[in-house]
Amino acid sequence: MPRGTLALLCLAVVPAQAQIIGSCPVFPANNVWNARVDTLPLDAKSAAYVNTIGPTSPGHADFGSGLYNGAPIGIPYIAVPGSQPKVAVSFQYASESDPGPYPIPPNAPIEGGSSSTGDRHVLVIDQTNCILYEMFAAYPQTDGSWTAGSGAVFNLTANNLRPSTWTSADAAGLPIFPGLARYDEVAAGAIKHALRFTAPQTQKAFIWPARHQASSITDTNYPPMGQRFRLKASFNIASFSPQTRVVLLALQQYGMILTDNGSAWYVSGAPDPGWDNNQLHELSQLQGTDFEAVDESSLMVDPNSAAVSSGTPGVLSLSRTSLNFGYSGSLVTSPQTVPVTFNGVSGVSWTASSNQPNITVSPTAGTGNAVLQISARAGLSGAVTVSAPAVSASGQVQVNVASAVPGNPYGSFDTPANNSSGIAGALPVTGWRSIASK
Amino acid sequence: MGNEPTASNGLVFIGNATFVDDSRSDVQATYPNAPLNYRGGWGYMLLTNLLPNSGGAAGPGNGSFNLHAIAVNKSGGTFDLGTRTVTVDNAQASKPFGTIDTPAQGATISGNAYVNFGWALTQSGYNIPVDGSTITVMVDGVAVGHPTYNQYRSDIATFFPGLANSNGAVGFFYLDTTTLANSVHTISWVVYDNQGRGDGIGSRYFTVEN
Repeated sequence: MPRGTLALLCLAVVPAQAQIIGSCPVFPANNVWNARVDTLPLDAKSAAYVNTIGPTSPGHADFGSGLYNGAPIGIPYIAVPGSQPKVAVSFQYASESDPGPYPIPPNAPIEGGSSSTGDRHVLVIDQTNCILYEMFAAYPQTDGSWTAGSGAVFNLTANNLRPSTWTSADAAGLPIFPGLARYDEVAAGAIKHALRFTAPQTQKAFIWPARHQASSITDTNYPPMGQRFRLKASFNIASFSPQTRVVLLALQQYGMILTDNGSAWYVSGAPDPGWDNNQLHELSQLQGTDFEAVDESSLMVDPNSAAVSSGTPGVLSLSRTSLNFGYSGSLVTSPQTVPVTFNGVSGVSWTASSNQPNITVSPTAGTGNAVLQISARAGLSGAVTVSAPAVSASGQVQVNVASAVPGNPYGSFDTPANNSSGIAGALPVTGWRSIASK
Repeated sequence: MGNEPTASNGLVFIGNATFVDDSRSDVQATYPNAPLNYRGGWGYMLLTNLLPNSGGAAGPGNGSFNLHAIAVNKSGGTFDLGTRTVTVDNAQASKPFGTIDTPAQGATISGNAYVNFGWALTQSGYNIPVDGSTITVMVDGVAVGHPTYNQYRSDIATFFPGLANSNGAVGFFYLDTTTLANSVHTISWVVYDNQGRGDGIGSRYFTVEN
């Protein structure tokens, strides 16, 4: 059966869900990469951004099958088991890189090939522990170690962002892998996430969810790193070939995130022999004015998290979108509570469930406002989802579970100041302390 | 407090601090992956009048004290977060004093008639008007009203005898939490006596969850 036919048959049966790689999610379902933006408002600077990127510049699939200049086309990745030996990596930008070792196999593919003088991205996915390792300007050394310009490690089950102003293996400080168009997704009929793309010149600024900029241009008519775009809904994709149509639909629904300086409207993907380069070349029928910049600020629930708000805005709210649990032997973080609040409606029935056996939530159903108690024991990270179908609302709490190193608490004794005098009556005594193993 | 025994580490137990959710966003941002990182901030309202004498002017609540904050975790690990030396001089105090009893530090409250209790006294020779007009309840730094004052409480009357308001130090205020967002807030009382000498008392965080 031709691959294109397979794609068409599958289009109607693929359920809406977060992208996965092996048994790992590619970030939680409520991660910004996995959020649709087709109903979000335009960014006020949309027209200006399109004009500076290139209003007549064509679209381009920067990925495909076969070789170009002797190397696969696109940004490759490799999946490894948790037993993959880790090797040392030294970084040029060590202060903004996650230190090694990284589980890089000797045959890890390098973007552009082993002799590339380009970005030389190397992407490794530990499919046992659901950890993504990414490097920029990566070079293998004869002793098995690697050198790289920068490197970043991402927990694929969590919504963590890198520290603000830190780069990653990408200029925007974001992960690369979740923004790649992958053939397995297209073969399955749908890309359910935003794609990565480049622009020739960007602003010396970044916006959520980006963490880093790479420009000296202060003109606000240029787009900042992290700016999201989408293909206009009015753009008719019906006449395009199956592979291209899946990519175009993703660009309309999920859009694309500006993550690096490069050629105009170059959309990133992973190389795969299944791609039909002739079909992908149809993206050149698009031009810059077919895109528009999106204001996705309403999705943000925390500037330091990639989690997005969900459900009908304002109807169902959770006091927290992420919780951390630690365990060490038999010790585990105490249960934590998350109030569920319905606004503007009353008597709404809801259910709460966990997607991991080691994470429990209580109660699992109720009516109206409530307080959930979430517990975790040693195991995988996951999420608790609260759904209220009657009002088409849902919310999710990311539950991060990690082993903790036993140790003494730490913290600070802040007030009163030392050697305070003349004190009378009530004296506020304050500070903070770690609660890692409370 | 003054009757607490001295522990094996040579320190005298005063009380347990309370963790306050979302009171320290700086700590939360610094330790984004730490469990319960939103609950790193702690607080304890130390009523210095109840301290024993420690080399100061005559009477309890006077002298020099070394305050320790001892953190203990679930596995039994302990750490002294630091020492603060303070000189307490209630004998020379010139301002009203007291505290808020409810909501407790970090408490979660709800409803349209939550009762905010507190008490206030001032120094000998002065008084706090019994109609409560010089006591202002502040929520998030905004005045929301005056409490009903001049209520008797035996423990305060016993511990602070002889002051003008000793037999009516308690006040209460009905707080309509439905007018507040479901989130963390602050509350305090600002108390003035009949000579215009004032001070803030009882400042603390609390959470509204309706």
